[in-house]
Amino acid sequence: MRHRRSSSVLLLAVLALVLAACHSPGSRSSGGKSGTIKIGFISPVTGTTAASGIEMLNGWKLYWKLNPNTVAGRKITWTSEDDAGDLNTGLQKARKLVEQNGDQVLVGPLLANVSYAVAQYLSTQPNVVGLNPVASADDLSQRKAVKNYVRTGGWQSSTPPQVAGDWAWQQGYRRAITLCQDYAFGQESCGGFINTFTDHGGKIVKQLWAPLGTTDYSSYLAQINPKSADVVYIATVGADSVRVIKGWSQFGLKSRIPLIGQETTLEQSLIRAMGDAAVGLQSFGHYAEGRDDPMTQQFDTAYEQEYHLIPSYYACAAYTGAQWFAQALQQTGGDMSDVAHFTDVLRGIKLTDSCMGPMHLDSNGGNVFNVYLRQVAKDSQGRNYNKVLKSFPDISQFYWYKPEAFLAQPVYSRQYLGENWPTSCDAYVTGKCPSQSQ
Amino acid sequence: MTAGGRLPGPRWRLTGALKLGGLALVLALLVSLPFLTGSFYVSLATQGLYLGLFALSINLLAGYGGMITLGQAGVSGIAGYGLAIFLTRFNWPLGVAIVAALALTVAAAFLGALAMRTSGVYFLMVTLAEGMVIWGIAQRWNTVTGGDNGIRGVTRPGFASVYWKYYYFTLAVVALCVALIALVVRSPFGLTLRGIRESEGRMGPLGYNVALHKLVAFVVAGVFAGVSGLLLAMDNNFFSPSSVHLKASADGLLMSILGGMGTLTGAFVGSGVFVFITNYVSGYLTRWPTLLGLIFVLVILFARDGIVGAWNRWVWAPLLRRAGQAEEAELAKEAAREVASGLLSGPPAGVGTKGGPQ
Repeated sequence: MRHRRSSSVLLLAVLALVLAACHSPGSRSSGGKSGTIKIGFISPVTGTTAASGIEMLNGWKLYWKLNPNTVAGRKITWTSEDDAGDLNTGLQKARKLVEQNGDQVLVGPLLANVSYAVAQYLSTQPNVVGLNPVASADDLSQRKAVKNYVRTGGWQSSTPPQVAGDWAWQQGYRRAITLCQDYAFGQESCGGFINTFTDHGGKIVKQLWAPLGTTDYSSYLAQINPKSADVVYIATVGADSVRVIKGWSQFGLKSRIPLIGQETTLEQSLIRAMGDAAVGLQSFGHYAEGRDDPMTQQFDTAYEQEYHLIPSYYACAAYTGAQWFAQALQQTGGDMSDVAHFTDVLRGIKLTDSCMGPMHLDSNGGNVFNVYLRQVAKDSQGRNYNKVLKSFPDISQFYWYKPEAFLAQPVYSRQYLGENWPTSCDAYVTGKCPSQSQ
Repeated sequence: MTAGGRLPGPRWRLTGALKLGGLALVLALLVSLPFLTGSFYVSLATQGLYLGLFALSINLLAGYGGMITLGQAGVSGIAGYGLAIFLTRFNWPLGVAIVAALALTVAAAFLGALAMRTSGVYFLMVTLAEGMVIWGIAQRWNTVTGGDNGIRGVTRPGFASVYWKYYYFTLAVVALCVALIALVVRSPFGLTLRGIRESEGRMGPLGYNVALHKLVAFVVAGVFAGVSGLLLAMDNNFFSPSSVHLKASADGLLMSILGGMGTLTGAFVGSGVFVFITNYVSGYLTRWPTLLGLIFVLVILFARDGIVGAWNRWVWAPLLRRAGQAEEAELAKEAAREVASGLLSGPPAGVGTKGGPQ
């Protein structure tokens, strides 16, 4: 009996070896020169950031609805996946799109922390082209840039806040309280604001940090004493933004202290749910649905026809990402065989205008764009939208700092928010420190 | 009580040979997998293996010890975070970091000690609270854990950096762990544990130190959960709060119930179904969480002893009966059902028959 048992094991082992000879692990090929190009799209359509993630997907869909599916002779097909706003899921979905579907192009995701994981994965897949229209993680175009992961219409978290910090001082604000989401995006946002605000000599009297998915903001808002500061800077995302802005109004802070929001705090997909609580509030961002420009207006109209909603930045960014990719493909005549060359072409694209405004990438891969000071107003149908109060053209991710000095510092985090930096005026492009009084 | 009991004579030999043959077939399939399919399925299988180990660690507590836990992801998270912190903040070599991280899971002793005085629903509540505290620390103690960013930069062992090598590494580690767990549940200690599951109140007067046995079981299960946490961290190259969240604990428990409580194979069947639906079916079905929920409901309604139990009753037992081995068939039928019915039905666990002395 023992003999029979061991012989069956032996038989199976032989079978395994035969099977083993049939197929061996291999690597993936690039997009090639002809045939169909397969694109995988990742955004969160469930979870805390679902509202924004669905808009992102809609913007992407809209581009391919309005434009031909064949670019430079190559048919474009795409599939979408839900990352639920979660790191592990996002990474798993990226693997699935690339390794199971055989997608040659990967688009997304939405959240900064998920994008760091996707970027790390893409660095191990040099034949896959990554498009990043939304996730704004600073380091993806600063210290941890990945060659084949390009900010096609994307932005850096800290870019609008760096303008905001400078502007806040110009308004005469001297003491600020910050309330930011406690993960990469919020930390980079607060870092940007604090860095430029304190360069002028502004004081940060209190820093509050709320984890992503905080359901009740009352304990944070109760710590904001309007007498102790001149202005409050808030950077939140998704459903958190709705909660914090509603609370802001309910706690009576709206009439007692000015608020400056990050783009995502007063974002179109979210101000819909805020009602009157949002009206009149100001924020800095690289998109404004109310921007008086033919490209933005055309996009608004097309989006409204399709989805009966005013488009959000997520929609515009994903739309621009598709436009950016199509333009690069036209430029190479449909050739994607050399991924390194193709990503260079992607990095060289200059959009003279888009639904966000003019855009191009700097030598680090950071997007240079217009930053808008926006204010929530009501349109003729009584819907909330962001109108433009002021435009700041061609804002670089390094703002008024020398790139090499800026990059010598770590990325903004809870440990480094730029409060005591720069120590020398040499760090500024002009070589002079910004004014300390006005 | 007779699950896995061995009968002498030719009947045992035949069923034993069949079982061994089945095991060999499964092992051969697992070993040849990287040669049969692409990298995606191999990475899914890797995930299925360490999630299965995680479910098995819960099964060890719940299925064998009667201690249903909802905090096991917290214990595996201690190891995962430990590894990530030792590697990225202290720059320790991987081997040292792994040993140190596993040593940290002995912290499970502390968590276990807090929960030891309770059983049944109350044990569930205490472990749930402990898991949430660990999750809270992971999410809020930003300077150490990186908060929602998680900790990036966890490396795989140098010899297992490529996906298929990492798969073999995982397979070897998990196989070793399963062998160890099989030894544990078949040892006198494992039998005592089952005794405690059946009647905690009687084991004390019989001269067993119930609390100590439960505590040791908690620590042993914690170490295996820790190993799965380490494998997860090295697979993803990062560790984040979502791996510690209540959902991760509940998923593990559900996998264990789905596969079959009180069985060694059940955990892996459960994790296989779970991984398949979350990663593969989700591409074709937007409402995949509904499908998963439906499967759980069906299992609870019609097969409380899980997929493995259902297999034993509906396929394995009739086969044995046809082969003229009615006695063996009855054993197979009852083995898993006995455990499941004790845990998942009847009077609320921890009340009446199990809790107090009789």
